Amino acid sequence: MSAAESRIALIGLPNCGKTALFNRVTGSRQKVANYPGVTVERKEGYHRSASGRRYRLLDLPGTYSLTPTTLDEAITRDVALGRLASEPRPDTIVLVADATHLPLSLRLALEVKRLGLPMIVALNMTDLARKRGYSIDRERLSKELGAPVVETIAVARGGADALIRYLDELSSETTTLTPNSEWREPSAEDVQQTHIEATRILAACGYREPARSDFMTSVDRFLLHPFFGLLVLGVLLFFVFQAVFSWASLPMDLIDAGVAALGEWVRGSMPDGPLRSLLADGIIAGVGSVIVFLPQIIILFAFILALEDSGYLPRAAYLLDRVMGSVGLSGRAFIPLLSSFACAIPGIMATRTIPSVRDRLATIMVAPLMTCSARLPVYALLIAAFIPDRDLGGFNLQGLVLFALYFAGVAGALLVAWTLKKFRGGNDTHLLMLELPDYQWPRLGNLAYGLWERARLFLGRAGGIILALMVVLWFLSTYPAPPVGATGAPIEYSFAGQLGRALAVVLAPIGFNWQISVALIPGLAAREVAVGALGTVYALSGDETAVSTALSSVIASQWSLATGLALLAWYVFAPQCLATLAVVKRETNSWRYPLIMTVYLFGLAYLAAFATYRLALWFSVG
Amino acid sequence: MMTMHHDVWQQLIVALLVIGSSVYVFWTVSGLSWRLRFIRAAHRTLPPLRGRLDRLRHRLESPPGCSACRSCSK
Repeated sequence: MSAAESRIALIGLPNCGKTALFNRVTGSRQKVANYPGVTVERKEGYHRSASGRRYRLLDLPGTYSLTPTTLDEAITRDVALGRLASEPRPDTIVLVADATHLPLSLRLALEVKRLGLPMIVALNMTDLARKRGYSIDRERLSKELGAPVVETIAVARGGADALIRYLDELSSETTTLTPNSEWREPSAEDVQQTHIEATRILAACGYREPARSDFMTSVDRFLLHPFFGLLVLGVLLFFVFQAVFSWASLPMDLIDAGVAALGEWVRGSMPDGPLRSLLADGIIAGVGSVIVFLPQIIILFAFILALEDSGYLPRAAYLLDRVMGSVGLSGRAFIPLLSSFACAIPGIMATRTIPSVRDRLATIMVAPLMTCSARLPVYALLIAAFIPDRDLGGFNLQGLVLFALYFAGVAGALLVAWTLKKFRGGNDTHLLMLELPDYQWPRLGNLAYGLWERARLFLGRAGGIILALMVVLWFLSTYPAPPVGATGAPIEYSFAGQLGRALAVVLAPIGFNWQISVALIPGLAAREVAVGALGTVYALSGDETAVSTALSSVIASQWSLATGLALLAWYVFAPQCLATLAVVKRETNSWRYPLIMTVYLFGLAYLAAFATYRLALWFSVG
Repeated sequence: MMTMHHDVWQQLIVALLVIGSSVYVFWTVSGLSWRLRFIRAAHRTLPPLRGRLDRLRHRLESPPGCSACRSCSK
């Protein structure tokens, strides 16, 4: 193994710190999650050691064994065996073992060893293991396994130095190992033998596990209780949505005032003309209407990341497994669906961890119903415009409505999944195997980095696709100029105005006016674009106060409550995200499913908006 | 005269921004096959950019990473 570059594959159980170790060695940054199954993409990085040797590291999806049950695990096995045409067989395998869950890792290590490739065992999280009272004779373990065992602390600076040193030593050795070309999938008997061998090795190495504290056992008994556990989960989520509205108001007001002041400054300091209109009415009014929701997104994700880091989320998956099973979804669907609360795209991609094709398709079909963060600006705008900011039974009414909207998305997903189950028939039983990590305090660094990533992505979108769409929309809303003697606002004679009026024929029965119809078109690219589009459309509608007044006040004065509620209902279901549909096509390798998804979601959105609008009118609230 | 001068350069900048934004929106929203068609068309009509366009086509045709996620708002 003396080539100038060595290929190193990182293999380990899900959640063993593999990605963190990969980041530590390569210097690249990725999201480090606290629940199993986060690694679904191929991740590669490079490292040049002090000796000048270059390593190409591959972070493989987490697996419990080399007998795959999911697509991800199959990829890990195939890369290790050199079966993937696009991926050369690795020169060395780094088996990352979580020192706090050694028995499971050891079984995997014994399986990997049979591949016949050079292997180094990285005993990760050794600091945590020592602190919690785990102990093992590392040198003896190395002898038993016939492979170097090094201690690593992936989250600490210098925590992978020992691993690099061993890699260098291994690379400079002249002896080579021959890969086992006769490897076969382990039989039930082989698995049992591996288990016996792992138990023997652990005993020989004096492995000791600490007794679980009574306190933690009691906490879990309460939090995993079928009734109290669900109650705690409900209260927790309820609190999160209350906080999103209550805590964000001050920073939102400041951003709003800043955007309005910038618009006024541009109007005051530039000569009249198309560029001034584009900047003030198109870009500032449009993009400004979106970035004002940044504080709410930050608050929502601060809670989600803290819950993820604390180890609570897998417990929530366990709690919800029975509910999901009753509507025909696999317990493994929880994590993809949870990811979909951030964005349906990674959620749909994470369905690769679901072994059954039918379960995977069912999860993909309902994933867009989870309330993604792009819906938040739309919900927040409409709630601020139409729902009074007052207390109801001690709770903030706006927060209650937001909670209800999230709940409506989940209920819709469960209903669709149940309907799919009825259509496909059969009586599948699902088993959820989940490793519950120990509780821990959320790490401030992880939290800060995660929030920074969310903010960066949101602002990147505001400065990218949203800004570009606002420029195009401004053009469509400004040209052609109104004819001589026209009495209406110029936008009414523009391309966008004419298109909006044509669409309003279809959308009028659900209470949408032509301005909403116009905003929904660029909003197909991404949901939150509709907010910016409304900002631009109203800024160009001849209402001089629209630029300096918050958009919520403008729409509150021009729409009926029934219209506002109907648009909220529309956004619970409408598939206003082309990127999601493109990913569904890619993941299912067929146009059939994105097509079915588009039709059923638009159908549901229209029905929900129609029912909401008519009911609201019937109750005379409009 | 001054106003007319301002108007001309404002229209020029606006035209460039609108064209640039339209291309960007098309590129972001369209799928791989449309992007490749776009590159082929540009390849025929813009000979000086052929080297860059070839590199871009090569990058698009190589195995995907998390490219879809770049346009998401998670």
